[in-house]
Amino acid sequence: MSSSAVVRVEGLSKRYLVPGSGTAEPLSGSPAMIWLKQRVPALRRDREKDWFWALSDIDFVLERGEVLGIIGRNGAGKSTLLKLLSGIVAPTSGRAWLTGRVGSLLEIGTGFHPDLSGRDNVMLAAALLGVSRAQVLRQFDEIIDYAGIGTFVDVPVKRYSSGMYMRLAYSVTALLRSDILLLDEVLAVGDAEFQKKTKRNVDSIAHDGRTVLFVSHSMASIKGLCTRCIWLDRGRIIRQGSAEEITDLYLQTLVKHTDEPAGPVDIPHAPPRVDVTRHHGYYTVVRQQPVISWVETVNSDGTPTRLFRTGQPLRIRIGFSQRRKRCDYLAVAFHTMDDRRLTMVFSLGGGGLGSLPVEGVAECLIPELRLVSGDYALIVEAGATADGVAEPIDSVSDATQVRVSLDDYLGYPGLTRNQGYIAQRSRWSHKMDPPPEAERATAVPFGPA
Amino acid sequence: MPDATPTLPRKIIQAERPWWRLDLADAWAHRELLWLLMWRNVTSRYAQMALGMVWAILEPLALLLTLVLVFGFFVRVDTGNIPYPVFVFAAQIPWLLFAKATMNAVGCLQEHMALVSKVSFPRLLLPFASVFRDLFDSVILVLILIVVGMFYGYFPTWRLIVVPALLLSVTMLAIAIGLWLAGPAVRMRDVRPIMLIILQMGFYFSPILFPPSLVPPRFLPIYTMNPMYWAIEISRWAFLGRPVDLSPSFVMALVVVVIAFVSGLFVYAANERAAVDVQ
Repeated sequence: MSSSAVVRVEGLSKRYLVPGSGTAEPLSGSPAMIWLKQRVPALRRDREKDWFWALSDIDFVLERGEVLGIIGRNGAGKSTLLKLLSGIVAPTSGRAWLTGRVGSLLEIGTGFHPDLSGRDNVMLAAALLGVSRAQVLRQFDEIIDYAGIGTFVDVPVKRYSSGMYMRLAYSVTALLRSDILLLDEVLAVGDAEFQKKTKRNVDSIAHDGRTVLFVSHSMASIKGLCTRCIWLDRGRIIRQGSAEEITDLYLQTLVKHTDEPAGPVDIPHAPPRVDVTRHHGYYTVVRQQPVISWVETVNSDGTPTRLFRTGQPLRIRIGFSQRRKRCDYLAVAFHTMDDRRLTMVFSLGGGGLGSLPVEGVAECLIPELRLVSGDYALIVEAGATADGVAEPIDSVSDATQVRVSLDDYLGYPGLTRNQGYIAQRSRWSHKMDPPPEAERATAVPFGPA
Repeated sequence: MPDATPTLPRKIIQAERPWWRLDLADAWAHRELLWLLMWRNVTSRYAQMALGMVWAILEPLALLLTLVLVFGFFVRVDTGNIPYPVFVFAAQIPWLLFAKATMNAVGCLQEHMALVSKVSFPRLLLPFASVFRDLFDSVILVLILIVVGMFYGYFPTWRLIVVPALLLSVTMLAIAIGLWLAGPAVRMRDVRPIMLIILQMGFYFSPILFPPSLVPPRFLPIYTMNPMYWAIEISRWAFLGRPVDLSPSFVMALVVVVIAFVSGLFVYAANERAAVDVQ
């Protein structure tokens, strides 16, 4: 073990009991024993219980001053990893060694009491981190300054704006000297100003020789801040390396919805039809009742594919079956690969489906695809409307993915790297009279006299 | 490199923890947190209440008034030569402390789950922090009882020096019960309502509304095994000078409390880590 290793993780695993998840072995024993075990779960043996492995066999080593990015889809185990390392949750097996004081910010403002003032909450948050009163008082002004709450120090935090609340929570964790900082999605909140400030702060923390572990869905933040990156999928590390390399790979690839160990598959080579019956709804568990059974993307010729061109039609075929007629709509949402929603279309209104039968195949036609070059994830949903609000019954996140190329839709090639997400045609014209012919001729500097 | 690595705290995260490890050093290092959690519980309770701290005494005094009217005036329980209001008040102080502190200690993990599931700190502090408010309230009630007592002619004597020890050992009993049941209470929501029923029964069984001389003598050996019997009797002795006969079962009750407390520390430590998983 290298002496400068600040965080060392070996075979860290965590399982949870999730009754009904169907991972248990069949009950064994005499018929009477089985009868009893069905009614008294406490009698079941370990392997007869429904375990869910949130994390399995995580290994990595971090040196002083490293910033580790942790990426992965929802439910991949990122937050569980941080909870284990901060000591909130005990692992099922494996070990981790952390050298130095650990500060964690797993959710903005935890430990804050709404009725207490900002000052009292800073004291409380510091005490939770195990920081002495004397040290907090030394750094108190700095914390208040950084949070920018000024004269609100003695006001109960429930009267704070959400921005002030967040800034205060972040500054307490980040500024009080902790050697290892665990941050979960802190950059996803707050205004642009706060995010910029936080990024600078994380940079300077790493520069100080402190170590940061950082969970984010924003690949831009991971690229900008992290020296290294690990990619988690279903509780395992499937790739690790430089932040640049891993985030690029992550954005280009997708994870198969099967129970076999996941591996990255390139979008164009993935089958266009995806069976989603066994696809977990992840932590946004809105698969109350599986309705959607498969999803297929089809191009303008009627050929199933995952490759599309801007301006061309895109058809999404959805196979569904419901036990009772409960659903009255289907919907498709387009997400970026880092999970930002771009748009959502519903099978309602004039061009919609009307009512949904118990079983069937529906097709959604996007007559003119308006996304720029890139990869997109499709969320497919079935649900019922009540009082003008869509209530999802089955929502399959990341059901399928497509690759779009802009080609010549705009009339000119993609000129910059960052084109946004929406392909918008434009028409330009001069609105000031062009100068007269004669003047223009004399204006030519190198023309013949 | 000017490195302070050897002095840095080293934390090992692992699945197995020996049952005898209580991490008392860690709890001691967080003693400032204990104070803050205690005060947070006290101050936040009376925030945004028009009557503020008056609430600490309003509820017990309203209950006292009812009991005095019903059992002292209508039923006319015979308490010898002691006026009924002070007779009940002196018993009510340890009992209310016990009942409220027990409920708070049993619920301490569940009540603080928002904190427990998001921040890492020695959870051993929670049962202690959660009973402080009740201890605080009972000190106020003691002061009121002294004033009320003087009105009835009971002036403070040297006997009052046992009152702090009395309140602390009643609190210790409540914490002991909390240490045993806080973990199970997270897993099974039935634990707290069951405790509430037991405490309600205990209120009528314990010699609060009547003197223990009304209990048939053949039941007394069992009756006096209740630790709260002794707390109530000693409280009446301290405030009102009512004689108390410390029998061997007093020592036994004391030993039971100490054993329950010490064993509770280990039970709590074993349960506390799993509590987040089953919340």
